[in-house]
Amino acid sequence: MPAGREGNPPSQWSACGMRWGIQGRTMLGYIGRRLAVAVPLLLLISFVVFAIMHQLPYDVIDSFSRPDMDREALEALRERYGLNDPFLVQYGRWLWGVLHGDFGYSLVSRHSIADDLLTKIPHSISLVLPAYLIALVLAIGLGLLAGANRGRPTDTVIDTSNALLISMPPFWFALLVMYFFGHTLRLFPIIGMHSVGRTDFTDFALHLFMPCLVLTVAFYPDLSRYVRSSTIAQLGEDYVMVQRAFGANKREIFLSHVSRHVLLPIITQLGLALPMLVTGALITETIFAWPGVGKYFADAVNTFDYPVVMAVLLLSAALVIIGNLLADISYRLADPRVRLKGGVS
Amino acid sequence: MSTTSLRRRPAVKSKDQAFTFGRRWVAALLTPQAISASTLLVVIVGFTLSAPLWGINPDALDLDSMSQPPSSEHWFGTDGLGRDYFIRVLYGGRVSLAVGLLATLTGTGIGVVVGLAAGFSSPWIDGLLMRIVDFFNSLPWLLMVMVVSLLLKPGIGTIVICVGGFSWMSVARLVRAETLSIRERTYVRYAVYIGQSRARTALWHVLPDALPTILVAASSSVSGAMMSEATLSFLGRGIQPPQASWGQLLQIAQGSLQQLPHLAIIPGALIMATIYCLNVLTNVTRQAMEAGQ
Repeated sequence: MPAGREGNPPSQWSACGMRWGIQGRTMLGYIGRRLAVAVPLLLLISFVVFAIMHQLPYDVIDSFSRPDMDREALEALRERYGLNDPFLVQYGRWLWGVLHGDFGYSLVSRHSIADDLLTKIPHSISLVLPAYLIALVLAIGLGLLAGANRGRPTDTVIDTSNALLISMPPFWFALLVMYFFGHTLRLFPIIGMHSVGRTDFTDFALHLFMPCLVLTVAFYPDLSRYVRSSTIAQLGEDYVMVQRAFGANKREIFLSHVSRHVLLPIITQLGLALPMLVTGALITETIFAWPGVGKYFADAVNTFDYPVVMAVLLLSAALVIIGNLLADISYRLADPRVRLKGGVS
Repeated sequence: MSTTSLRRRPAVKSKDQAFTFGRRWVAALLTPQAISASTLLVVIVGFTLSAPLWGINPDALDLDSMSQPPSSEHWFGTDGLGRDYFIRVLYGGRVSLAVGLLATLTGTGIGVVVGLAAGFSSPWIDGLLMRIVDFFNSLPWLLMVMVVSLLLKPGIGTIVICVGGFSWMSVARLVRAETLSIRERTYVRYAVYIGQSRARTALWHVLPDALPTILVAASSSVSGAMMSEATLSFLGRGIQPPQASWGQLLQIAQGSLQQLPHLAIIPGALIMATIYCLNVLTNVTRQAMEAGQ
C-alpha cells in the first residue's frame, strides 16, 4: 500500500489520496479519520438546513393560526417558542439540545421528538427491512441466473423486466396496487398499520402487504442489474478461462468461483442501503399512511414543524455517512486488494 | 472514477477511423430495440408539442360532463372538474419534458464548470471542490429538496433548480477525471507552455475533448430528472395546479383513485414509456461510444 510513497505515484493516485496525505495505513486510523470528517460535515448540514428553515417566510404559528386569532396572542406564542430570538441563538440552543440527546418538541403536536422517533423508526424498519431482504434475495437469484445465461431468452426476459421496472415510477405502481388489491379485489386494507382496536399480527401483515410489495419492486431492479452485470464481468475474467483450460465444467466454475466473487461485493450495497431503512419509504409511507419516519417528515415539512424536519434530516444525513463508511470498510474486508482512501464520498 | 474514462484516446482520428466510428453509430441505432424506442419517443414528444393545435382549453371547466370515463368525445375522459383529460395530459407532458431537459441542462452545466475547475486548477481548489461534491453526496436528496422547495416559490423554475442543483455531482466527477487525463496530452501542455490562460486552455482545448463523455452523461440524466420532477410534484412540492405535469396529474388522481382509475393510469404509463425509451436510447449511445473508444 505505501508503495506509492517511493518513486513516482501514478497520476490517479496523486489525484485522490497521495496529495492529501490521507492514504490509510490501519483500519482503525482510517475509521477515525473518516469520522473526523463526518462530524464537521454533519454540523455543516445541520447549519445549512437550520438557515433554510429560518429563512422561510412562514413559521409554525402561521400553520395553525386562524384569521380570527388575536395578533398579540400569536406574537406571545412566537416569543414563548423562541422564534423571535436571533438566528445564531436559536441554532445554538438547538445544537446544545441535540448534543444532550434532546431533539426538542414538535411545535405542532408538542410531543417529544426523541420519543416520536423511537416509536416511528421501528415502524419504518418493519416495512423497509422485509421489502429490502425480499428484493435482495430475488435480485441475487435472478441476477445470477441472467448473467449466467447472457443473451439467452432467460436473460432477455429478466433484463427487459429490469429495464421496465426501473422506468416505472414507484408511486404510480403504488396507486395501481392500491386500486387493484385494495379497491377492486378488496383483499387488503388501504391505509395505516393496524385497524382500529386491533394489534394482532394477522392484521399487521394484511396492512403490510401492499406497501411492502411496492417497496420490494422499487428496490429490486437496481440490485438485480448490479448482480447481473458483475456476474457478466466475472465470467470474462482470466481465472474463468484458466479453469476452462484445466477442464472444469461450467457449473463448477460458476458455483465455486464466480458466484463467490459476485456475492462478496453485495455486502457493500448493504451499507449503502442503511439510510433507506429510515427514510427510504417516504413516498410509500405517505401513500399508504404508514406511520413511519418518512410520513412523519413529509407531514412536518407541510406544517413547517422545523424541529422535526431538523431531527429527521440530521438522522438521515448521519445514516448516509455511516452507511458509506460501513460500505467502504466491508468492501475493504471483503477484498483486501482495495486500497483505503480518504474522503467521505 | 472508472479506468475507462482515464484511458487515453488518440487525439486525432484518421479519416478511416472516423468512418468506422460513424458506421458503428448507424449500426447501433438501427437495432429493432433502438428503432422502436425512438419511434415511441418521437410520437410522445410530437403529441405533447402539438398540444396548442387541438384547440381545446386545458383549463375549461365543463360541469355537465364531470368525471367521465374515456369516450370518443373525450379520448382520455374528463377529470373531477369536467376538464378534458387528453389535453391536460398533453400540456402536462410539455411541462414534464421541459423540466427534464432544463434540469439536466442546469445539472450538467454546474457539473462541467465544477469538474473543469477542479481538474484544471490548483490542488487546493480541487480539494475544496471535491469536498463540496462530498457534502452534496452525503445529503439525503429527497428530504433536502423538499426543504429547499419550501424556500422558493413553487413552479417550473424552482423544480429545475431543485432537481438540477442536487444532481450535478456525478457529472462533476466524470468531467474532473476526463480533464485530469486530457490535460496531460501534448497539445494541452503546449497551450499552457506558450502562456495561454488556464480558463482559455480549459474552454478551448480540454472541453471539446471531454464533450462526448459530457453528452452521454447528460443524456442519461434526463430520465432521472423527469422521475425526480414527477416524484416532487406527486408529493405536492413541484408543479402546482392549475398548471399540470404528469407527476402532478398523478397526485390529483390519487384522491379519486377508486372512482376514476384512468386518471392515474394514463399519466403514469406515459412517464414510464418516456423514461424507458430514454434509457434504451442512452444505453445504445453509451455502448456505441465505448465501442468507439
